[in-house]
Amino acid sequence: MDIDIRTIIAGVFLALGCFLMIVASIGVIRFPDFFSRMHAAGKADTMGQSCILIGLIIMAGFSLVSLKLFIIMLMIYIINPTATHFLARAAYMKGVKPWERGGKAVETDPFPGDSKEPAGVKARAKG
Amino acid sequence: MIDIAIPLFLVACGLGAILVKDLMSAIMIFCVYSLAMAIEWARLNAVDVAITEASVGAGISTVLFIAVLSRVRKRDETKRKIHLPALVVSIGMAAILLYGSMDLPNLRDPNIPPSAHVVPKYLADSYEETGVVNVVAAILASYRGYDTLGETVVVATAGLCVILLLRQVRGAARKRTGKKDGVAYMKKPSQFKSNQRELEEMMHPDNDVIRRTVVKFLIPFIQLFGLYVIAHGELGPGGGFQGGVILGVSVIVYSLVFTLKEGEKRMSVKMSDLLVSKGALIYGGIGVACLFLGGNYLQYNVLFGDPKLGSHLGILGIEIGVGITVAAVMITLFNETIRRDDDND
Repeated sequence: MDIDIRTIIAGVFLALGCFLMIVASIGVIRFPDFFSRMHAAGKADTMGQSCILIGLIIMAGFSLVSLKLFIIMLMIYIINPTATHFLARAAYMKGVKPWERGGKAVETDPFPGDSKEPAGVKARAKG
Repeated sequence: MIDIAIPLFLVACGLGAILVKDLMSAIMIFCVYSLAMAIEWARLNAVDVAITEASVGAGISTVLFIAVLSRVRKRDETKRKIHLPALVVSIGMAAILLYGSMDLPNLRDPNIPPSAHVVPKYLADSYEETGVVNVVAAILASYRGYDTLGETVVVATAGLCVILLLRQVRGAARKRTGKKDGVAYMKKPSQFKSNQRELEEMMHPDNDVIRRTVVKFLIPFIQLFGLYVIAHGELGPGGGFQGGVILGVSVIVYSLVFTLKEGEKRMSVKMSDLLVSKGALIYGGIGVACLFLGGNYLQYNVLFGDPKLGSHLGILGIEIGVGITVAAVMITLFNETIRRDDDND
């Protein structure tokens, strides 16, 4: 079995990417409220996906495939944070309350459907 | 292992989509289901189908479902009770189908009818006969050109029906009841208004620099990719249907992020209505052009002096036609579902 330096570097990047993705998934399950969950998903996911793509680029060498992977990486860098931003903004405007120190984990419903009054109204009435 | 994991995941997603009460969650599960399905298609080497599944199943139908959800109740409130005769019938049916599937030939066997009948001829001769590298595109556009024409006309008809039904209902209702609601909203009008104002405020383009910048930056790339998928359909995976959906999505994203009104400034209702039928017309028109030049209907190789070039360009032409129709129908479906009567006044 011959392992050259390129395989090792690629492997390190792939492992790092997988680690970050797992961290992100644990964060999404474990964090107490909508915003911190999204923080986990948004940040660690972006980094994890790009690490995996960097690993794949190193594996593929300098070719058209690696150029395409690089473009996908750029797109992820642009789209992922923007999507997170949209979600956070929409949730905030709908009146999803952030978690506070010492509070219980809140199971928020970001799509409050047919509740009697819009969530935004409820939150404002309380605050 | 992944060959077992993906089907199991698909079954789990299917059950989840049925059992979950919140319809928004059901839509999201369905989107995940489509993505897993796309991976499965890619693993089965059906890359064209994988692209279709990813763009249609996971992309546009999720958006359209959410658009419909904005008009109906968001939770499934039907009482769940087991209807015994129905259960017996469906389990019996499933058992019969499973029993029947045991008689299906082994797909890896090269001598079974699906592999032995016309497929060897397609694989051997399609490049010589049609001048198209991608065999899937050759079959769709050339050998099975009538079928694809039918599909395109069906898509266009669906778009026209949506235009006729939704616009008709809305217009008639407005005439009957003055300016009030055309379609029955689940929310009370007052709540709807306040929600609308909040939404308007949120949606207002000036309120969010990130939204405006990123979307304006991305849309050209989405459209370029859509055109690439349409034009590249003869060389690699892709084609009119997938590329059309991607093109349609680029306009839908614009009206989703800025308001529908802004979107209609870019792509007017009249324009998309026209394009719905124009695409099918291009497809049929190429067929008629073949007739005039002395060939059969959709026999592309009479189009130009060189038969291979004619066939090549003919197939590119009908892919473009399909793409135009599909894109316009997607835009129409989205706009007609999402439009409120208030916007028209």
